[in-house]
Amino acid sequence: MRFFQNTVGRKIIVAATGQIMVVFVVLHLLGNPLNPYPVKLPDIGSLKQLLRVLLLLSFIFHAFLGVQVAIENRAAKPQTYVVRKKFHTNFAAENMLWTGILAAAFIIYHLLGASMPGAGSGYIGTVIYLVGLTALFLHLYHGIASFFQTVGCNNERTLPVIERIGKGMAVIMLVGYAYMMLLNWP
Amino acid sequence: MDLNLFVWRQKRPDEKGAMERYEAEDISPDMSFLEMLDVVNEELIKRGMEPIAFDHDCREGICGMCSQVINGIPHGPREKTTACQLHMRNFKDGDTIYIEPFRAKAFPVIKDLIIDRSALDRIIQAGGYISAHTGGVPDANTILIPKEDADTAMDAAECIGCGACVAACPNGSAMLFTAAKVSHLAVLPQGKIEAARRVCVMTEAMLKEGFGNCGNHYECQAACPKGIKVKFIAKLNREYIKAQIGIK
Ligand code: SF4
Ligand code: FES
Repeated sequence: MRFFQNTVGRKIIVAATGQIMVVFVVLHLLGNPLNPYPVKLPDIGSLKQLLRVLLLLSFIFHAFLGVQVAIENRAAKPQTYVVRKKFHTNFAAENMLWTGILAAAFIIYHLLGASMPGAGSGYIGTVIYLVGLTALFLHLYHGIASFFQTVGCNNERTLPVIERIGKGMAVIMLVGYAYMMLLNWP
Repeated sequence: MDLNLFVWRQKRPDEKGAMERYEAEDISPDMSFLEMLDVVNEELIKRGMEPIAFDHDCREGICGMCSQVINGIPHGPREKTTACQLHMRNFKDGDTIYIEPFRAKAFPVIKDLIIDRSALDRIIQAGGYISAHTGGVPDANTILIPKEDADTAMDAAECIGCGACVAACPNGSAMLFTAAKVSHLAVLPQGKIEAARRVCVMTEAMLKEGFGNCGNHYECQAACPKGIKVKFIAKLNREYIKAQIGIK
């Protein structure tokens, strides 16, 4: 149980569950029915149910621990500076809580909308999708590379490379999904 | 040169402080930042005003006492330089300089720019030590350490416990400090015995003291006057995983 309360333990769970969902986001883009160049994913049959459970659990743990950590972090810095200079951090890294909440809301909307005709094609639906995709993009912009640091797979040489790849992946996801959305434009 | 200072003034821990404006006149570019504040304070004392309270001890960049955020950067604008080693030639005549205390819940302000940093000591007390036999001094080179490991340990051991990493961190996390201490001991044979316990109790102590969690912002590395790298945080994370799965 100490693992779930430890600052590193929790971050490892948040990072790992996040990366599981990233893998899904990538596969979902590749095998998407809207994808004009669809990649045929292997038929895994009943394994699919198992993966669904895994994704659901990942979502729950990621959201719960992520929010808990974010609340603690805000409490740990009750007052900031009159003048503050930033060096490495960026908008995406500083707003993980908000982009996470937006992305989660979007995913829930998307899942409900799967059987809801017209979602994502109407005017309001399009705006919601764009906002959701942008939130997800910002979340991944910091999150993908962050995973490697948190699980200890990083050093001085790999850090900038992993960061560039992580950010690049986030851009590809944004462009890929937005492109398919445009193809589906009414 | 003449400077325009905005300094955080706060009489007591429970009082609400504020930025106040002062003029620093006839400052020599060869003065250190703390000497500049000494000059300002003498002027304040002459005029019967309360001098600006700030921490310092060695004034040669090794004790880590001089905790000030200068123009939004802990220890000021010069890379890998403590506030006491920062010289006024890094500023220009007529510059406006903002001076604030390190900010974090775990670092309460005592007065003006002085903060209570004992939370870092309690992280060390939790596990930042090794057990050694008492008795005579061991002979040199009885424990052989590869050069690479010795170098890594020395890089981590450069941390002077100043807390600038906490001050720079948007989450008020002391992860760079804790990682430096954990890594320094974990790479040496003398520190291996307690390595697993150490990483667990020190990270637990960090949270208990009210520091935040590391969010991989890497602001700490940029602010650290000793150039401690965030690769040591990755190392701490590895040490933690090793401890959890029981690898020695
Ligand atoms: S890691 Fe650097 S900034 Fe943090 S306490 Fe040590 S010397 Fe200071
Ligand atoms: S006064 Fe000792 S490091 Fe600055």
